[in-house]
Formats: sequence, C-alpha cells, structure tokens
Amino acid sequence: MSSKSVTLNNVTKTFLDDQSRLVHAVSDVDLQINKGEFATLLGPSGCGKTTTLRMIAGFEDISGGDIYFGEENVNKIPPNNRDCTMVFQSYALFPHMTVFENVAYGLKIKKMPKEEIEKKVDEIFGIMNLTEHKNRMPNQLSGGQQQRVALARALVMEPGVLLFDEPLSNLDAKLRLLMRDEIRRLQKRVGITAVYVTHDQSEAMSMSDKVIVMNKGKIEQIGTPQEIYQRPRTRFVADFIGTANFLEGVVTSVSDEEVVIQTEQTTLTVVKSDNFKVGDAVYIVVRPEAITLKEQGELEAKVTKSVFMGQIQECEVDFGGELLQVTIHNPMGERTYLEGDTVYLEFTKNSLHVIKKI
Amino acid sequence: MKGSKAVGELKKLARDPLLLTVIILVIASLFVFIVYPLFQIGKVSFVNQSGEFSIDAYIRILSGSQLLTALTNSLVLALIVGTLSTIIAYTFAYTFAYMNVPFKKLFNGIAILPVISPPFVISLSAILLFGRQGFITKNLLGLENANIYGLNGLILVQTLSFFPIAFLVLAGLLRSISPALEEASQNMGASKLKTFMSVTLPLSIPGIANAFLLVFIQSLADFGNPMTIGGNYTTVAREIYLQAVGSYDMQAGSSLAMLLLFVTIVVYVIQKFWVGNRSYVTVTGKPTGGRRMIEKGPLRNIMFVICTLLSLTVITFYALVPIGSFIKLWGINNSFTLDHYTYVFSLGQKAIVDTFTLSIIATPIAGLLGMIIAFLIVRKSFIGKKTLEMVSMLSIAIPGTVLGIAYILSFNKAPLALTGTASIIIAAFVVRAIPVGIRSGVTALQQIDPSIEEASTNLGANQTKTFFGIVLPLIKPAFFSGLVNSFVKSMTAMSAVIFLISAKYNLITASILTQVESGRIGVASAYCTILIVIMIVALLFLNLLLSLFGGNYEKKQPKLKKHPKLEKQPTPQSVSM
Repeated sequence: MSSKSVTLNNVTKTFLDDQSRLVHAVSDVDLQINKGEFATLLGPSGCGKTTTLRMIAGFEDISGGDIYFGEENVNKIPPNNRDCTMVFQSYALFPHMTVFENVAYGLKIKKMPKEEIEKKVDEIFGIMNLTEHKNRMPNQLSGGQQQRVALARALVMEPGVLLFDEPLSNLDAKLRLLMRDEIRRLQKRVGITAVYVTHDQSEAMSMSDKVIVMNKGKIEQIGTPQEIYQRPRTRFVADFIGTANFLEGVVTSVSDEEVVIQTEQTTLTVVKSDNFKVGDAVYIVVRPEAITLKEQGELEAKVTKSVFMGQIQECEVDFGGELLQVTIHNPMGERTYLEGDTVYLEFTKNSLHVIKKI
Repeated sequence: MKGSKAVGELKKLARDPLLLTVIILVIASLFVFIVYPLFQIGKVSFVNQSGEFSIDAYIRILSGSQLLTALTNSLVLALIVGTLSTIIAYTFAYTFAYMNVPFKKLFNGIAILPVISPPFVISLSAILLFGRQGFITKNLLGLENANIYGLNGLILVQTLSFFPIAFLVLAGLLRSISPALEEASQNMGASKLKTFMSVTLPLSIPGIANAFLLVFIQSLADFGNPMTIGGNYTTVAREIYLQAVGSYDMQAGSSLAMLLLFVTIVVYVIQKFWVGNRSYVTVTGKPTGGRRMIEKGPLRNIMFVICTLLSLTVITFYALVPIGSFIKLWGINNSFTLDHYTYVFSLGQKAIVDTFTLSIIATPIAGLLGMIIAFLIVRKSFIGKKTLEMVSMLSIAIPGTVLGIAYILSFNKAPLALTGTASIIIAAFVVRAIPVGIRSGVTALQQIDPSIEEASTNLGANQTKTFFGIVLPLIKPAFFSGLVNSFVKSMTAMSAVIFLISAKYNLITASILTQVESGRIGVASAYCTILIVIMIVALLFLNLLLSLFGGNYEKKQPKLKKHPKLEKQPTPQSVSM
C-alpha cells in the first residue's frame, strides 16, 4: 500500500447563492497532511469541512488553489481516477449488491482478475470480521456491520488516501466509541493517510494525529489534540473544543516566561505563549478544571448552580459579575458546595492560557 | 457573476465529453420534437391563406362559429366529467382507505383497468349496450332509435374511462392522512360525521382539486371517445382533426389547437403549482399504519354495494367487446361468427404488425430516455437544465391532437421531411410516453442517496458505468413501469398519430376508428380484442423479463419492512393523458 501525503495550497471554493451573491464556502485553505497521518477536519456545521473533503475527493470543483496527492497535482483528475476512497456518512452501500459484491465493486472496475479479487476481499473480510456476512444484502446488516462493510470497501482498494465523511454519526453512542477505536487501529495497522471529517470534538480528539479546526470556511488552527485543547489560538477554538470560561483583561507586564494580566476581578500571572506587549487586550481562557474551589482564600465568589453528574460535580460561580463554569472531580468525601455558598477560587497557573483579543 | 458560473459549468462539462454529448442530444431532440412543432402551430395559426399575418382564425373562432361551440362543448363536458369522476373516485377511494370490504384487491384491479385499455373499448361497449341496436335500449327496454351518440354518451364513457385517474390520486392521498388526526378529533368529542366533515374532508381538498383537474385535462384532450360516440356534440380535439384533415384548414386547426393547448397548460399549471403547494399531507411514500378500518355498519354496506355495482359495470363494458367481436350483426343477427376475425387477419394484418413493431421500437427509447432525462434533472447541473425541466414537465399537458397537427405542420418539408415515415410515428409515441417515465424516474431518484453514486465514482467507475451499473438497477421499478407505460401508450395511441399514419404505416387504433365510422362494430370489436390480447401477452412477457432479470433487490430483504400492498398499487404517476 503506497500511502500518500495530501497538500492543499490556497484552496478556495465559491458559489453563487439564490440571490446570485458570491459565497465563500472555503477560503484560502493551506494544509499539509503527512503520509500515514490521521488528520481530522473539525468544526460546526457549515464551516466548510465537508466541502474541503469533497474537493479532495474530487466531487466538488475547486474555485482556486491546488490540491496535491504526494507530488502530483490532482486538480484536473476526475473523481473516479483519484487515488482516494471514501467512507460516506450514509455508508452509501449499493443496496442491490451483496456485501461481497459491494466490496469487490471497485476491484472489478480496475479489471483485476477474479481470483485475485476474491483473495483480496476475503483477506479484508478476515481483518474486519465480515466473512460470515459475505453473501448478505446490506440492509440485512446492523448499522455497525454496514459501517464495517463501507470501510472494507474503501480499504480494499488500497488507496493513497482514505477519506471519512462523518462516518459514525449514524451509530448509537456505544457503537460509536467502539468503531472509533476500530477505525483508528486499522488506520495505524495499514499505515494509511486518513482525512476525517467530524463535528464531534471528542471523536477528533481521540482519533487524530492532527486536528484542523475550521470555522466559516477558514482554518482557525492546526495542531495536535493537546495543542488544540490546551493552547487554542482563537476564542472560537477555545470555545468550540471543550468548555471554556473567558476573562477579559489587559497585559500590564511581560517577562521572558510570564505575562501579568489585569482583569476586572483580579490580577493573574500566566505562562507566556505568544508575543504580548504591555497594553494588549486579551482573553484568559480558563478551563473548568483549572479552577479549584476553597473554603478560604482571596478570590471570593458565590456558587449560583451546583449539579451532581456522577463522575464530576458541575458548578457555576459568580466571580465579580462573571459567571464561571467549574468542574470538580469525584467530590466524594470532600465538601460539596451548594447553591448560595460563598467560595474562594484558586486558578492553576499552568492551566491558564492567554489569547489576543481581535 | 452569472457569466462566470456558466463558464465554470461549461468547463466542467467539457471535461466530461460523454455527459456533454448526452445533454446536447437530449436538449436537441426535445427541441426538435416538442418546442419546434409547438412553435410551428403558433406560427401557422397567425398566417392566413395568402401567407400574411392575421388573427382571422382566432376572430373566427371566438366570434361564435361552430368552432367556438366545439370549445365550449368541450369545457362543459370536461366540467361534468371531472365532477362526476371525482365524486365516484372519492367514494371508491374512501371505501378503500377506511373500510374493510371483501374483494378489495379485485375492485382495485378493476378500477385501474380503463387506464391501460385502448381508448375505444368503453365507447364500443356503450354502443353495443345503448346504441340503436343496443342490448339494453332495444332488447330490454324495447326502445326504437335510442340515441347514445352525443353529450350523454360522452359523459358516460368518459366518466367510466377517467374516474380511475381520480381514484389513484385520491386513494394515495386518503391513505397518507395520518389516522392520529382523526383519532385526535374523536378524542376531543367529535362524532364520526363531524370528524369526517372537519378533518378528513378538508385534508383531502387538495387531492380532490388535483383529481378533478387531471380528469378535466383528460376529458378536454380526449379524441377517441368523441370520434366514436360524440355524434353531433362536437368537441375541440375532434374539431381540430376535422379542420386539419377533413377540410384542410390548417389555420383554423392550428388556432383551435393553440386555444386547447392554452387551456390545458393553464389547468396543468394550476394543478401542479397552485394545488400542489396547498397539500397539507406530507407524502412520505410510506403508508401511515394502523388506521382502524370500518368493519361493519350500514355505511360500509352501502359503499360495498356501490363499489360492486361500479365494478360490475366496468366488467360488463369490457366483456362486451370480445363478445361483440364474435357476433354477426349485433342486435339484428345475433349468431356466432368468426367473420370479423377473418376480415381483420386478412385486411388488417398490416395495421397489427405495424402497431406492434413501432411500439416495440418506441418502448425502449422512451423508457431509457425518460430515465436519462430524470437523471440529468435530479443529479446534474448544466446550462439549460431549467428549460429541460420545464419542457419535459409541460409536455405532459400537450393534448395528442395538438401534437399531431403540430407534427404534420413541422415535418412535411426538408430538412425534416418525416411525414409518412416510421420515425415520425415513433417520435410521437416517445414524446407522448416520456413525461410519465421522467416523473417516475425523478421520484425514484430523489429517494436515492446521491452518495451511493458518488461511492461508485469514488471507487473508479465512470459516468456510464455508474449510470448502468448503479443508477438504473436502483430505479429499476420506475424504469420498468416506464417501459410498460410506453408500450401501453404506444399500442393504444391515437390522438397524435392519427395525423401521421400513411399508406406505408397504419395503426390498429386508426383501423378501429375507420370501422366504427363505417358502422362495422363487429370488426372494430375484433380489432379491440386482438389489441387487448396482444397487450396482455406483452405485459405478461415484460413481467416475466422483470422477474428473470429484474432480481429486485428489495425482494431479497426479508428484514425490510415494507407494505407490499402499497408497493403493488400503481401510483398516480402511471397516469397521464
């Protein structure tokens, strides 16, 4: 299997809406996905992630820019000749063909000899536990099985790039977790380059080597799951990935490693993650787990909501007019703060992150 | 900006030469065989005998000549037939959707019989029953000189011929009304009658309007029945024919055709857009399950009797034609004879062979073309797509007579001197048959996830391979019903092709008409019987083909929950004019 890298240079997609206005579905996307990497396009619906994926597959024409598979520019290659296969959201199994025929379809088109097709298909069925369903029709299968057939059909082609368009969104929650692991395991095992589209951040976090967060047709940030979560570059990313509290403030002093920020409520010292100047308007991103509630301290706040969720206790506190979300893990044995309680906040310095206000 | 979009689309098409060729061919043929001929009648209707522009013909029609009578007669007839058919159809459909009566399937089959039968059968039977030598009028009632010819006869035969169309529309609609709505009404204290009046009936009003308008168009465009049984009651479709072929007054014929076309298109547009948008019932294609059927009670019994009587009437009308074909001289000499068949097989063989051959050629063309156009409309974007959609949609509203006169006007000189050839007849067959195919193809395609085709492309298949390997098998039911429709339509076609037959190519329907006109009802009946037999054999053969090669994937799926009853019932799409 010869896996390929995928490069997007300044890729743009525009179209005219009903009133003949020009709409940028995707604008100036620059992206490099390395060989064998699992990259996820993540964003809310309408952010352009699916359009980007469909441009890579060739289903959408690009309005500008270039797409490369490895060194080869694929702009002009029609979708049926591109070296990529796709797992569709609806699986798109051919309902009039058996499971075997579905998986063999692409190989037949390649005019591969019959024996070889059978060998290849059997091999992939073995890997994916589909052998016993070989002669069934697609809708005699469960959702998870259909999903595996769709994956087998794409994998058996041994493409340079494997594309996924929200493949797990039609499965129930438990199966989704299971398939998540299975896809990731298979991808690693065959070492194939994968581009995966989802709006589910936990899916993106748990599967990807690289996450590309998109919003309104543009890339907001590219990074590892950790970078995206811990060092979001924009307020949108911080807000979209996980839960975030934002404290507005102004930079009052800058040293080599730290930045001091004055907010309406308090002064906080934070690890420096960007070039800040004194006087910069910033947001401090405070994750709910970066706050600890104490019975004594300096930063007084009032609990306005407290909900027991099993694993965690979710609280909302009023901190000088700002409502902050706080999670406390496993409060068993410790004091549980209830609505109306007065508490004192403690921020974990290393968990705070500053972004410029634009 | 619009320009750049068009350029972009062109570029995309240029990369797919096959698709481009197909699109150009389709648009060109629709233009040549639909748009251009209609333009021609428009043109001719405004040109007088000395070749100058004039609106004489329109003035002549509208100032109250015999031509105006034809127009008003047709409208009156259409109004009466539309109303009667809708009432009968509603009764039938209500019984079907709400009551548990015996022989339901049989009733259903009988109700749709007139849709697929040749246009003459009911007229012929009406003559056999109620004519001067009619079984009922003369033998039972002892009337001399009973006159079935005229308005009364037309109302009878058109209602019997067209109520099935209304029935199909209304049955589909009533079935899709959620029983929960009626239960809610009863739950809030409404009686059954109150529920019917305030829930069921209002919900079915769009369907009623729809059914009425469809029958209205059918009646307006009807040619066969007025020709056989119209008597002195002239109607517009017939008058067009008489003007064009009888007195060779092309201008009068064309302007009348234009007026008829105008009326049918207006009615069609009302039906399609105005009524269509008013439907409260979401048509999901799935029957809403769990309606508690009315099992007993006087109402059910009355309805059952009505359905039975109506079905018996239809059966009688159909049984009479074969019987009549074996009788020497109906009403006068009622002895058994094979003379009529001998006559048909000696003199009429050519018409039978021609009709069959031409229909067999037209059927696959129309079937495939319908699916291709449906595919283009649903799945592809290209310049001229809107026009293609409009033309193929509106072509369903073109009455056959209008198409016929348009064709003789358009194809009588070079470069398109097709009059008298087989191709012009085949073209007429195809144009008359594709709208239904396109509609069922569009409906079928819209229910198929486009990513299935993308998956095929993604796995390396080209357009052709995807269309024939994936799309066509998936819309096979629509494809086959399109084929059946094309075949039936072509075999029984008359209104359009009556203008186009020649010494070289004759058709059964035209021969029947000649026999009726010269009073040889026995021979006409023999022709009709043969036509029906050929159609039944051909349909059985087509069904056999379907079960051999069809391998309908849905049948292999025991898990799939479908209501087989609904599947088997023809949809309103199998109906057209």
